[in-house]
Amino acid sequence: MNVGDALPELVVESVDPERMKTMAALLRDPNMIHLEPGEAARHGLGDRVVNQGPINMGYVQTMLARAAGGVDRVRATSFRFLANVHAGDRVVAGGTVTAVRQGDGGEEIDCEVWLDVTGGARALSGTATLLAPPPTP
Amino acid sequence: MITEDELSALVGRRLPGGRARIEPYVDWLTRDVVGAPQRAPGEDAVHPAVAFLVAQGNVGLELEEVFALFGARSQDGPMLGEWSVDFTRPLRTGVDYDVTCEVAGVARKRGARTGVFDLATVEIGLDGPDRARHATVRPTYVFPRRS
Repeated sequence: MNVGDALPELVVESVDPERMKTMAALLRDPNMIHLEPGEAARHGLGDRVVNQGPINMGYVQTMLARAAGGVDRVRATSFRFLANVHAGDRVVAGGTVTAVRQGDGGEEIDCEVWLDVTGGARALSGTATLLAPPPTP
Repeated sequence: MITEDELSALVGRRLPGGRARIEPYVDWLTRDVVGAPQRAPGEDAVHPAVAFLVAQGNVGLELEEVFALFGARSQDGPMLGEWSVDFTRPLRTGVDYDVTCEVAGVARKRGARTGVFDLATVEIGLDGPDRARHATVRPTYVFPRRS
């Protein structure tokens, strides 16, 4: 990887509200905006349930793990949540390489990353550090 | 509404923390939710998003109690503003982690459209059986204040 390279995107064609239920259970998250469309509306968040922030960043981390060659090669991520993602949205996780340097565990790749809602806003932006992908045999 | 002084006094407050072991099904479900392939046989490193679950779920308080610490309730619409993780080594299934948590910073803000809101960052450490820090997680919550 070189500075300026784009990371291969991860596309989620339609954010699934059923998976929000799974995450709500895993998190023991009592916030009903992820489960009840009416509750999202009551908070002025539209008429569809709102994807949990951890799922949004998880899409980006999945994109990063794929680029680096494994989940164990993602060394750091930092995200700022900018806009909501709703059930049914199409989202694209992407990133670009900003630095390549020698770290403690080998070559490390710094990246800018984001998650965009197609036809909508940037949902999150941030930075990440990866171990460089292992050489292909 | 919690006062600014009361909010500032929370910095340095330690939450009870706990002990966590990542069950394989938690990693499986997380990967399913975030569109990642499942672990190959023999692999034990978990998806990075699992760090959120392990950290959040083992601070020693329910999420509603964390909100209450900052004078908020889930009905008030608290949000996750920022979140970061630094791994010194990957988290793995079948490993016991000691979880520590401390309020790292707070700030009261005023927005033209949003009105008053508070930011609260907690730092959550995940230490392995070797007593070394394996991961540090820092969520920042946004608490809208409607006085």
